[in-house]
Amino acid sequence: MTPFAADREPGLIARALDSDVWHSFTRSPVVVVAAILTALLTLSAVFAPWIAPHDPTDLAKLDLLDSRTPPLWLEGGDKRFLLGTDNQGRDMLSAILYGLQISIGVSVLAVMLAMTIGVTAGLVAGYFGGWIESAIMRVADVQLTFPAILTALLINGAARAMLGNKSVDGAEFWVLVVSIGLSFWVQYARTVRGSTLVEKNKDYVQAARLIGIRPLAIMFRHVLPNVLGPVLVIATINLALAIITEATLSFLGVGLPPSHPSLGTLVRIGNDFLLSGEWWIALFPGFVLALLALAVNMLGDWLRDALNPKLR
Amino acid sequence: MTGQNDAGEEQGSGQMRLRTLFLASALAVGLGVTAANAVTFRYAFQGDLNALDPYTLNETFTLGALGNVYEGLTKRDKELKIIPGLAERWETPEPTRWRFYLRKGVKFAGGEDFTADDVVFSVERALAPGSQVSTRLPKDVKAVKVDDHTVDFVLSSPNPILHAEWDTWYIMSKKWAEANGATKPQPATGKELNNFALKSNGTGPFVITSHEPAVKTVFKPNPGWWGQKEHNLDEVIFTTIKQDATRVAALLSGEVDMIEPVPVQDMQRIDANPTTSVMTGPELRTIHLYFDSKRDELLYSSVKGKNPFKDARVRKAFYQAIDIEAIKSRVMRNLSVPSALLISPLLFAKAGDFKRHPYDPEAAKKLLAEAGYPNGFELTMHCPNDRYVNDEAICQAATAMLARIGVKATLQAQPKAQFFGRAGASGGFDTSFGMLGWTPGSFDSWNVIVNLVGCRDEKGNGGPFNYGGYCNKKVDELAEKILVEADTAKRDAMISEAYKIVHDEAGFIPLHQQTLAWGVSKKVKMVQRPDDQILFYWTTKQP
Repeated sequence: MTPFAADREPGLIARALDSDVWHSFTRSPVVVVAAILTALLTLSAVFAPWIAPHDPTDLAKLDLLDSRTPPLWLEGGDKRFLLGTDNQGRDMLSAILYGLQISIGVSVLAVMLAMTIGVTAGLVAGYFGGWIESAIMRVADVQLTFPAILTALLINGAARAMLGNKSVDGAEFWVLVVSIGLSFWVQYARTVRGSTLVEKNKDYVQAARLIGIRPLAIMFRHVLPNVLGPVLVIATINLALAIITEATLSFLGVGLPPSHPSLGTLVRIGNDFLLSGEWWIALFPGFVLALLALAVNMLGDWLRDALNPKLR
Repeated sequence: MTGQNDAGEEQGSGQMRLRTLFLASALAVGLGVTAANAVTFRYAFQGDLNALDPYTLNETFTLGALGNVYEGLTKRDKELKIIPGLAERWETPEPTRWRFYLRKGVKFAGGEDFTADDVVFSVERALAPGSQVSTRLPKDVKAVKVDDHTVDFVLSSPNPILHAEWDTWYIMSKKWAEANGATKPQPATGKELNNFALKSNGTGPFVITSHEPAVKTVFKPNPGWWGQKEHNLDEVIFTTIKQDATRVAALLSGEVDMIEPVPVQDMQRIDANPTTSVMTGPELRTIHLYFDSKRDELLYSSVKGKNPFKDARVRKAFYQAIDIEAIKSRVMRNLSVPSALLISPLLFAKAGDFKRHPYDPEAAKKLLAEAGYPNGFELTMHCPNDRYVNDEAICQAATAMLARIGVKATLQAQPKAQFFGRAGASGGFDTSFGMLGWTPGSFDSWNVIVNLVGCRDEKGNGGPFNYGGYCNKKVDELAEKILVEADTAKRDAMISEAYKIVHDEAGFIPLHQQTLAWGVSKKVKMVQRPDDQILFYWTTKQP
């Protein structure tokens, strides 16, 4: 399994390739496929401007007369548009690639935001205890009673109201990141708090405290690395959720505008034509969305099992 | 309200109470019988029915829905001819004095008698700030009560079409309004609806028994209505279904009996379905794009310190950038008639004299360069997304077409309540470039010239629906003459002259008249007027 020389001091890669996680990864073909899919989709999103045949955000290049062209292999297809066009004459393939970029961008940033907030809140709550802990965890409990999508909708609406009519144009991307990020932090906070409660009474923390290291340094340099495992698992699973949430918000019309469509926006546009014979406008972006969410979700599930000592 | 009535009956004689009891039980039995095979008519529209205050929104769908509940002094029949409504007849003893004889024995749904006081009150309320129906009446009109059932309207100058739009100026009860705190209209921009705006109290053939704004509204026949009943409905349920595909599916599955509008891509499917059909007809509404040519600096543009739309060349460049034939064939699937004027050719005899400025992006670029914008500029375009057929798609197409002449327009499409709230007078005309559709309520050009084209101030005095604030004093002068001119040929010539001024300096971009398309279950017979009001008091349904 390891192509690297075994007689030398094992390097980082070699150690990784020899780990339990890697073995469990290679043993499951489904997970390998999911990982390849995720990588492919992410790469095509990142390189969308270079591989997309058209630039769907450049309005000047759209021609209304190309609108609703069916995919290449159907009658009336056009070889410029492999997957057909939408109701504005936008190439579906390019729109999907750019939409993928926005969908992944929003979800990754949102998950990072949620992780930062949640981990900090959890560490602080677990380490200090007392009223700080009660305050943070009660807020978390209250938020947990609402479904994440509802919280995201609420924050989205509030952000738009606060920004007012003028500045929301172009800020939609960040409004989405913040609203999804703020609705997902609770899980991290609860997990990290639990692990921190266990860790903080261990000898190494006591020792660190004894030699006078400041609490902040203890929290982030000593406790954090030891509670990070579960956080990574949650982050991966949350990524799939964030992708779906972004798509839902865009589908409801409170996400990204049709001029810079995400996958959810594309499905919303296509939904009007779904039963009218022009199925490709909704189906292709929907398929890519489902593929992405499924692949990421499977990676998350596998990571959870692989890192769970009880299942080894 | 009901509390007061109950108290009154308690104090009445025993005989009265017995009679009330008997009536109540008879009514209950009657209801029980009809409930078994009650005829319920369900219809769905793409937009909301929000406030029930008939003066909040001057918009066809809302006024149409409320036209089943409220009535004006005049009404319009199935062919749009003016017929008596709450006024039995009227006369003009002098050119500046109109006398209306009110129908006797009419009661509001809440039990109040309909009298001249209600008419005088409705005049004041319609002209009050926040009202969008103020154009139904001249600003300086005086309503004088002669006796309980006679009202005089005293004008400062003659107006031969005074009552032409009164079918949608609904009369409200003074007593009810005072008891419910509804003496001032609910403004369209109001963030929250006042309590009274969730209730209604009209004289019409139906009453609203429950109302959830933007969700569902239930109408029941008004048993005390004065008129001759032409429907067989026991209940009408209105719901908002915003998604095109969902609305069509609801009709095809029989969940609703009527939908409006039918998405153009689904017309054939609905017609081919054995239980449904599409009712089409010409529509009078003309869709147009307007420019803010009033402000010294646009609110939503990259151009600072000046307003590019004050230059007719820029407006004309925008006009010539729009490929109306592409919009017709691709977005509207040929169900629209491109228009050079702000009025339907059905309503103006000389409409054929006008031709649209041709689609020519090269010429448009040149015009922009001449005006000092060789590289174009940026701006935000505002559109409704649930009012007109394919409104958002048309605006999207327009932004793409503008991009080809270098103008970077960002589209903000909003539901009609928000859009009309911000773009109209009560929102301070808060847009720079947008879309509006207009049906002249009087079916006459004067209405168009005054409402859409007339000069206005910041508050909307003048042309209240001139969202862009286009202004040409010559047009205003013509409008004054047109109003008092009785000779048709002379009047038409002056109307032509006014339209020519607006056309030549591209004050607006008229787009098209859309085709009316209602999806209707074959069980239902409806009357479709070109003004697109859904009036179900002429609707019958097989049980």
